[in-house]
Amino acid sequence: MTRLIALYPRDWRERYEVEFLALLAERPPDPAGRLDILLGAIDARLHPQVPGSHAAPEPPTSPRRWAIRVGWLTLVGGLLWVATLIVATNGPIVVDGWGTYRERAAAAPLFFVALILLGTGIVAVALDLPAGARLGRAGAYVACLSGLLWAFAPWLLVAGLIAGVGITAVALSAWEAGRWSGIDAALLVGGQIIGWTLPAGVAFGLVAPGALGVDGIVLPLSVMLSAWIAVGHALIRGTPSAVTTRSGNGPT
Amino acid sequence: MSHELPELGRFTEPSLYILVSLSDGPKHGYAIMSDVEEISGSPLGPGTLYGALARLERRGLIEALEPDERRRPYRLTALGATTLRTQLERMRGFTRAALDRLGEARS
Repeated sequence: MTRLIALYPRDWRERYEVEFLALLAERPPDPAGRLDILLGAIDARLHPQVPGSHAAPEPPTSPRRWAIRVGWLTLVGGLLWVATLIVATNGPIVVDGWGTYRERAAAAPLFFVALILLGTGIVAVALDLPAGARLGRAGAYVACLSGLLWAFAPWLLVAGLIAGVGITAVALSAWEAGRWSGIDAALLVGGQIIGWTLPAGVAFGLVAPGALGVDGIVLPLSVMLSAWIAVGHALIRGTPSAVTTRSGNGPT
Repeated sequence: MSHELPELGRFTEPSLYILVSLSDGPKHGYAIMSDVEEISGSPLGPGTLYGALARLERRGLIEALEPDERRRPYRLTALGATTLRTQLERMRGFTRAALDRLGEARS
């Protein structure tokens, strides 16, 4: 637990650590509580709120500056995703005992950074979701873990597919909470559905990889560019916060 | 001073619950957490609780009292009470209008 609290900024710990530890001693957190503490630490670093700290309060109506920065970074990640696909479809054709395939190792670093930047954007979106948006938070958690796995192992299409389901949950949750426009949500969800249909068939053995040709598995992934565009655009545009959600449930 | 609940992003709803919880007297973190769970029916995570407490304290809507051993109680300030009242009256107006419309739709 102290490791998690060590993630908070020093001025926050000086002010709140003692009482925070007392609270956790009285009510030990479950895994969801631990995730909440982790998100709280990220939030405390992004938005210093300790009374007397020198950070200026955020402007009340404009999108937060950090969200805009993360939004632009996410869009840069989208460019890297395009670069990934270009490099991946231009590697040399190799014929060996495994069959005929294209060597795509040169695209791996671009692929890794593109996914990390998308994950950063997803975390930023999740941090702005209302407290009751559990589906969105769970989606972000799943998307980040699976996306990280996929970033290290691009051949694990199932990990990418699970990450796609996670970011779809985040997008729908953000739309439900009024944080995202319908266009952004539809762009992301549509891209995920269209982009993952064929790779999912391959991942689950319904489609033979050879039947798609050498680059058949790569090209559908280009549609997923919509995820970087939707997340980046939503973060840069920002949304007014409202207590009443789109579903009309009010505070939860 | 504004009597609006300030823009608090994802902390808006927890902040409202915390203000309601403190409206009947000072409470420390654990008591607030238990009270909010009883009011809202869903638990408030510790990170969310302290993120909201820090925001409310910084904006002068609540204030920290002297610690009782390791636990520090918080209480509503005059500005916090006025802000809470404004927010609740707005919600009451919204609820009334919505119920009126629902009644009209059914009749």
